[in-house]
Amino acid sequence: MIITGISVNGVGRFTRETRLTGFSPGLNILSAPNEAGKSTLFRALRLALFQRHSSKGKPIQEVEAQNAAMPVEITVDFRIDDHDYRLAKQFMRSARSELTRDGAVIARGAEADEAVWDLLGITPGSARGEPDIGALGLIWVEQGQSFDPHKASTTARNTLADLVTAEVGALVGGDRARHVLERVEADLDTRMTSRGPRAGGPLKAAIDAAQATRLREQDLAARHQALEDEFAALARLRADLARARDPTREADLRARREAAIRDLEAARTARAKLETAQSQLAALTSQREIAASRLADAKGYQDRLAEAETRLASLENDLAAQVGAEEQAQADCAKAAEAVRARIDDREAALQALAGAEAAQNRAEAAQARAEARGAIESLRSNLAEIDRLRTELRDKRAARKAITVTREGLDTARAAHDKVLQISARLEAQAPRLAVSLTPEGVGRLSIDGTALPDGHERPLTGETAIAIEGIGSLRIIPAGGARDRSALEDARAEYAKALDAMNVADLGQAEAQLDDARALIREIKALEERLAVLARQAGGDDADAEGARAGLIERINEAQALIAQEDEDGPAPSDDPAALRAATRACREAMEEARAALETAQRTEQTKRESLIEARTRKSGTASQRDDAVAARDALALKAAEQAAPERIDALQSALTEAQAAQARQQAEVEALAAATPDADQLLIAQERVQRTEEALDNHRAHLAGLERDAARHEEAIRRLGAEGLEEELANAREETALAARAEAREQRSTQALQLLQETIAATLASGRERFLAPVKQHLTPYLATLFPGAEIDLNDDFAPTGLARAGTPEGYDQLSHGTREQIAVLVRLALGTMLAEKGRPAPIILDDALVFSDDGRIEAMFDALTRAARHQQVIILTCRDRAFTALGGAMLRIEEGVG
Amino acid sequence: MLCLDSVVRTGHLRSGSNGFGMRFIHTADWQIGKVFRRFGEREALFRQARLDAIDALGALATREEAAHVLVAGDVYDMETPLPATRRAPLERMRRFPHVTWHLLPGNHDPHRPNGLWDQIAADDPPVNIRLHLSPEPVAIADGVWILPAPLTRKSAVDDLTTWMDQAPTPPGAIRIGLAHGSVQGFDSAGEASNLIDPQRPERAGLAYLALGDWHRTLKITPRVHYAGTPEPDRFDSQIAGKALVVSLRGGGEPEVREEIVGRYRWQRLRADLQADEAVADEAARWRAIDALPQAVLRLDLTGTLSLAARQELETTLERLEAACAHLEYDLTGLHLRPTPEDIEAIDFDGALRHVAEELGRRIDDASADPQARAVAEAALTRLYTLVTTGERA
Repeated sequence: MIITGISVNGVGRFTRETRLTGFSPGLNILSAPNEAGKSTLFRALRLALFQRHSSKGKPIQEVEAQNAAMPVEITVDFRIDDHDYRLAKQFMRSARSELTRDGAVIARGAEADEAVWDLLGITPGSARGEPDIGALGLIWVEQGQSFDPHKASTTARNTLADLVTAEVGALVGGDRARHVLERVEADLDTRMTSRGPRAGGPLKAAIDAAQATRLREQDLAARHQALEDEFAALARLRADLARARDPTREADLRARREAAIRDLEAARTARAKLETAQSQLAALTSQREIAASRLADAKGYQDRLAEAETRLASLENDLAAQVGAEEQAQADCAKAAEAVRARIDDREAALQALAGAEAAQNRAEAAQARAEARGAIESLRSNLAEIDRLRTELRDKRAARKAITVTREGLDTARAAHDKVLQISARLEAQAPRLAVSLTPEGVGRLSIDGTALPDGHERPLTGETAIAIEGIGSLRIIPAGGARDRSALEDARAEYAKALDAMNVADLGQAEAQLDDARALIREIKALEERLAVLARQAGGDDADAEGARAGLIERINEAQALIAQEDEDGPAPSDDPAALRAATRACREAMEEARAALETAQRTEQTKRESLIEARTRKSGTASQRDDAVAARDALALKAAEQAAPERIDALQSALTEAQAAQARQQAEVEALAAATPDADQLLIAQERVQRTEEALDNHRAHLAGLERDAARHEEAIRRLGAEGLEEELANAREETALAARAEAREQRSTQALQLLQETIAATLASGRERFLAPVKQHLTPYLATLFPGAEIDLNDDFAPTGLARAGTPEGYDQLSHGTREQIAVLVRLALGTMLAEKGRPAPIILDDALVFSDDGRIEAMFDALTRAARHQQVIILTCRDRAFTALGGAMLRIEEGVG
Repeated sequence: MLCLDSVVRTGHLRSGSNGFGMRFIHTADWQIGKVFRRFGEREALFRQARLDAIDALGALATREEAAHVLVAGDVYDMETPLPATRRAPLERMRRFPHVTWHLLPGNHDPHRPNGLWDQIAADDPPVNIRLHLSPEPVAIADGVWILPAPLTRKSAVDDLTTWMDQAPTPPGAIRIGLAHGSVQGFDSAGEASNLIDPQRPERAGLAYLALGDWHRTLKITPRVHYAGTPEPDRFDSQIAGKALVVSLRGGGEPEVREEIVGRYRWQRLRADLQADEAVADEAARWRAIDALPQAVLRLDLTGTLSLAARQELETTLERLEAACAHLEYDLTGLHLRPTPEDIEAIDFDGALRHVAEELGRRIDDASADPQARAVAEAALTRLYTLVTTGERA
């Protein structure tokens, strides 16, 4: 279908017949400002095509021209399949409808209404409602709806589905499948969440129940096992008890103990007997020893006497030797004392010699000093004089310098002032008239200025008022006109100059300069003097070139020298000896002195040593003497005793006593040995004791063991009674069956859940692949359009062919996430694609976009224009816009609203 | 001095002038306290039934004028029942004061020191209950001796009846053996591992050897019998619970008669369903089972069915479950083969058809994990159900 013309009257603001002209089969643009009525015209088009002429409903009322009392007239010219049609409808007043084909009326009234629908493939609506305009609804975009994803009506969808089916082979029945899917998903949802079984759902309940029964069964099994363990333990204990209660066992233990006790007693008795015999032996042994010692004692006396004699003799010898030593020591002492006295004398002599040498030396040195002082004093004096002279000269020169008041600055100032004076004068002179005197011979000497006659040929500038006295005539006063300023300046300068000279106390520059030169010379001389003075001062002694200080120092030294010289008179004449030689002599004496002192000390030490030796010798001697006295006394006593004790009869008696004692001891010894062999030793006795202890312990342990077994048995019996009353096996049997049941229930639920999941996946996959195939042709048509704006992008469409998302570079974005501009563009592109599809299937319809690219920026607009241009190749595209400038670039036919035509 | 009471008590039968005989009831394997958790809400009924069997035995003894009931082991199902469980059978037995009940420890309830039987003995049991806890002859009536072989461990290995050969009883006494275990030379159908010589009566001069442990009423030799359980407790034992009425006359062979005393009938049935029609056929068979309300059924079903037939089967089983005492079934051997009609019922041509076909492919994929194929079957079944029932709803 191609629209070739629209005209309206009584519609919106159009109260005169208004035509929309300029239609072309391709791209058409109606660019008009807001409120020009573009949308109204578009709406009128829809009304004319889709509404019954008899309709008075809201859509008609909305376009009725207000307050105009006019019928709503709309006429649409269009072309389908090489036929030109005109549909002329009038609403509200004198409603009518007329369809013309190629100039001939072919239908009127309701017939005309329906004939149009037939042509357009529209399902007739009810008497009141707007018909389902099918695919046209998808591709005619009203203002403000450009970027809403459309909702296709059933007819639209079917229309498109028909188109698609031809290509694809149907996959209808999606509704039913979706319905089933919903129920499956609802069922699944009660069982599962995305993270696992849903809490509170049947699957989770089954899983939990199975787990709970398992745990209960395990717990009961454990407790039952405990009971079985108790039974087993009790059986073992009973066996142990039976063995333990065996009477022979206790009898055996008792017998062992008795035997051990008996053995112990026997051992003890034997030991006692042995001990008695042993103590008797000890007594006999000591008796024998006493007899032997008595005998020995008696025999010993002789020997002891001989020893005493020997000892005494040796002591006598020692004593004699020591007396001699003492005498020798005494002699040595006397000799040493003698030597000491001699050394003392030596020292005295040396002392005296030294004193003499020192005195001579001192005298010689004093004389030398005096001579030196004499020599020095002259030079000192001359130095002093020189210093004083220089100081005086310096003082004078300084004063002279001070008297000169001329300074460099002053001179410069004066010079500057002078220069200024000269400058100004020169200027004045340059400006000044010149007086040139030319005298006749009579006139000579009669012309004068300030009393000074002017010679002939004299020339001078007249810088100021000048009075020329002409003798005999009067005077001429010449008053130059200009230079007043200069003249006053000159006066100022002269004053300055004079002031400068006064300041320096000179009459002129020359004098000033001369004085300045003098001052400089003076400064040089002063400097020289000061240097010389400093040298002298240093020479006079002192680092500091302080003349005053040096002077004072010189005076002091002069005084000292004078004092020294004066002393000569007291000391007497100087010795003629060389002081150096005297000093040497003194040194020699000192050395001799030292030697003497050293010798003395040595002698004294020697004496001391000898004295000590003497004391030692004396002490020794007296000690030995007393020892000797004691030895004499002892020998005497011993001699007496020996005579008494060592008598032969006594010795014999003692001997026989000893022999008897020996024999008795030997007999007893034999008896003890015999007994010992038959008696158990200490170790064996210990063993017997331990055996008794052990057997008693064994008996006690046995009894305790028995008691313990009985206690344990009682404990197990109690436990069995207690556990037995809990009905564990019955509970366990119950629990086992419940576990089995719960496990089966869990398996069933798992199976159901898996079946639901499989069903869900299969249905969803089937629907998705169906949709893919279904939408493939649409996407195919869409791709070239999409590529102009979003190269490489893919689009998702739902079953209504509406966009649901865009994937750019593989990243999917939901439709709502896209910007307004992008959504707008996509929506338009989809419609273009659908329209192109319709056109290709031989059902072309115009694509109408009312203000459809509001949000698109200029960059995208260009691409959209490409898309629109491309679409316009296949069918008519009509664009209503108020963006004149932007859309101019699009090209295409420009529609015009012509008002008041005809 | 004989009085009527004592005649009854000792159960002598006077038959002619042929000396003296004895009639008693032989039963075993009561398994009191056994749990039936998988029966869900009906568990209590089954536990109760075991106690009711005691009443039935008491009634039987009364009817048959038998003064003694011999219980050959496994009175209790476990050694440590709850106190209430332990006392319940004793109270039932107490209600038949003219019957003496002789209880023998079996492998489920062996006699161990301080165990179950010591607790019973210490708990003042009714006077008409006698506990045979040690292997020694006990006179139960004039000239009638019981030689019991109680188990003292769960797993004994020796023939515990050997001592009977040398057991002294007064001359002319009737010797009745009471034991629990398996019999040598037969397929072991019991749990006890101790074997019993089936020639024991001959060796030990027993008029009769009353055995327990096999839950089937069975004659081994004329003098050696298993009483079976008075109320079955598992499949593949016996369908109905029974007891034996034993009459001894002189030295001849004992007369042994079976009597049904149990309430429920336990049956395991198998069916291989290879065609859809088979479902209806089997359903009819099951419906025809005798005494359906007391039937305890287990169905092992194998085969291959369409979705529609599978749905029909599920419905049938639901109905059957309501009709019988308890129903268990195992369908793991039953596979799904969806037919074209099945698929069309899901969807004629459309997304769901594709889904169904995809699931069908998974089911048929022989190389896939059996678990995965089972999941696919469940998914397709679910889809079928959703579509065929949901849309109606």
